[in-house]
Amino acid sequence: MQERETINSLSPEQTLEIAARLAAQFPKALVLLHGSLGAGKTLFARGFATGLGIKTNVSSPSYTLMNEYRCEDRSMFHLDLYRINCFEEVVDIGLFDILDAGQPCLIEWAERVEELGRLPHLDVKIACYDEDHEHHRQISWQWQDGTE
Amino acid sequence: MKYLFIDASENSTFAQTGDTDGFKPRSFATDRNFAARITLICDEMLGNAGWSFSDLDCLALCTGPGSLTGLRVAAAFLRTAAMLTGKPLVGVNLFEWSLQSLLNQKKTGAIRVVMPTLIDKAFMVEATLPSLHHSNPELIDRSASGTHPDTYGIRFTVPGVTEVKLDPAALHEILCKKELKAAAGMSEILNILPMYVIPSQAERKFKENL
Amino acid sequence: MITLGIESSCDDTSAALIKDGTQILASLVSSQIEIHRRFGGVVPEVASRKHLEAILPLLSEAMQTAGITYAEIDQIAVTAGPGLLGPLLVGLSTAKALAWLLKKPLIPVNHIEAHLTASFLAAGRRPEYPFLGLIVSGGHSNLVHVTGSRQYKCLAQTLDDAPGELFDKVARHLGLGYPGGPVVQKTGENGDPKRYRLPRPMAGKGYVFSFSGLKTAVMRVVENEKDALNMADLCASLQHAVAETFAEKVEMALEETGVKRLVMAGGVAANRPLRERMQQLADRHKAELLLPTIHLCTDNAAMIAAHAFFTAESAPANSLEVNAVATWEMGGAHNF
Repeated sequence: MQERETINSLSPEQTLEIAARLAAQFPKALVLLHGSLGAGKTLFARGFATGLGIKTNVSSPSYTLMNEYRCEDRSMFHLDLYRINCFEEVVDIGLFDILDAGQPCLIEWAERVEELGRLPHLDVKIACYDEDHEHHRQISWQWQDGTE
Repeated sequence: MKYLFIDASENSTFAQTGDTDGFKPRSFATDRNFAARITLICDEMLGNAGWSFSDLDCLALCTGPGSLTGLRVAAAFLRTAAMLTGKPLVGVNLFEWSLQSLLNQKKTGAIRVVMPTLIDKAFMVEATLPSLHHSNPELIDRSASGTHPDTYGIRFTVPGVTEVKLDPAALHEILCKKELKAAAGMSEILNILPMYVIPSQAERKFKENL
Repeated sequence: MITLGIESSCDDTSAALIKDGTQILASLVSSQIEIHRRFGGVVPEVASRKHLEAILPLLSEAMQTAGITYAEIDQIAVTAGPGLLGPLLVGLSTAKALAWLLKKPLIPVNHIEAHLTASFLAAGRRPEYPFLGLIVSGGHSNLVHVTGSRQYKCLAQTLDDAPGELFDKVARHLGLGYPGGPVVQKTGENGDPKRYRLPRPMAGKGYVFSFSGLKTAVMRVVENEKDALNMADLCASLQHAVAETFAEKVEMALEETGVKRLVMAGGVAANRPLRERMQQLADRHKAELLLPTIHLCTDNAAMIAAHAFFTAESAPANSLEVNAVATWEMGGAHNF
């Protein structure tokens, strides 16, 4: 089992940088993003896209359920399961077709569908840890291959 | 009885035309592009059989299990075609097809058929040949597929599971035996759907909360 | 000329028939009618199934309402994107079967573009150029300068959350219910919009929208006020902040382009404070404002049919080979 690494981010810009570096390290990954409302999951997704060399605008997929960002030959998928009610809906929006094709995919609110935890993935947690500094975040990540 | 059958349950599309004189199976390397090519595939199958659409006596759809995307495209297309033209629509699932294929190989007795589904699960049905009737599909752990004797796999083979090839001749037999109503009524068409065989765990949770 | 429209890009399925681009003969959405009763079945709750199971009964019902036979249809319009691939494919495959068998043209339509046409359709008019379009919905927040048929210059987009989503999340957080827009509007009806000072994200920063800051600001107010929180005032203040955010950018665009026609569209275009603010802005600049009716604000097939009618010449020759696409830029080519 891989170690969980943690880093503190003192600003949105830092979060973008951290995410971009992770993208360079895990360019084809399924990323499960955990964090409460307002923690900055979409911001992280933006940084990740930049790290993959994708310059398209990244916005929240809460309503659309899934966004695709394309740049030249690269694609990144960004999902938000906030409005999803069950596993079958996840299948329905084509998540497994995307994963089969080996495309990088970031999923917000993945904890709503527990089956996703059984796939090999990069597990990222974003937490607010300091009430006095509203921009401070603790970002941690761990590669999980889903077998345990 | 002239039919056109489409199976879009996996990445490549399988289609077949047939009548009392014989049948013509064909595979198309559609990858993920089935939706874009569906009318071309129909044109080619009809052209190859020397038929126009109006010559058909029935439309046939593979109802899965398999890729929901493909199954859904084929279902939407053929259901609409049936409604518009009044041609009957019949559904065939992969379990039926596999049982007929095994029967044609002279297999008899109690057997199981499994087919992998998402992540680490598989669908499993039980049957006793020569009857083509099978139990309702159950969800099992893929790793437990090979634990029973006489288990056959659809597009799947692991220790303990023998792959069953879906035989076009077996499909032809199934389709020729299907009873066709005089015209396809809306309620008959609405019953032909991709197999949503198992309510997912989460859906069960959802229902419990009501 | 009769155009059949089919729309299934996200949550709902819709079928419509229009005549000559401006007259709605029928426009039905699956969530609105009890279609399943007529056919003795049950439309399932699970979203993944409902598109496939709803489309044929919906189509039949629309044809009957319009009093049209399939032979009278001249062309078939369908949303090809952007949206969710699964639902889109149901509508697209249904439309293809119709076009292929009826031997009539299939016109793939961009859902976002069609929202702007909906506002003209609401007035029974054909689109007139140039105009400034503001599309505000659950998933989108776009300001565009439209100079001709399918010619869009994108001026501003959202950096993060769209306003509809902001209302949904805030409503959920405040325990008000779903969907958020209508309930926030109702709760804030008699509230004081100046009571809580909420930020204007991206104010003075040019052509860009951002709403996630408002989300966190509302959460902070709730935390700080605790029992002293006035829900009506908070909802009023939130809508006021959203309206002012849009007003600033739209005003900039009106001044810079000199365009005298403003068109608002999308689900959030139903929001009254926003509509009033846009009317004020339009009046001050002596510009005409077009707004959609409530039915035409949200996703519907009538706008798909109308948009196809007015942009049919740009449909590809081999439209039967079109695929559904999750992303499709406004005015972009059909190179699927």
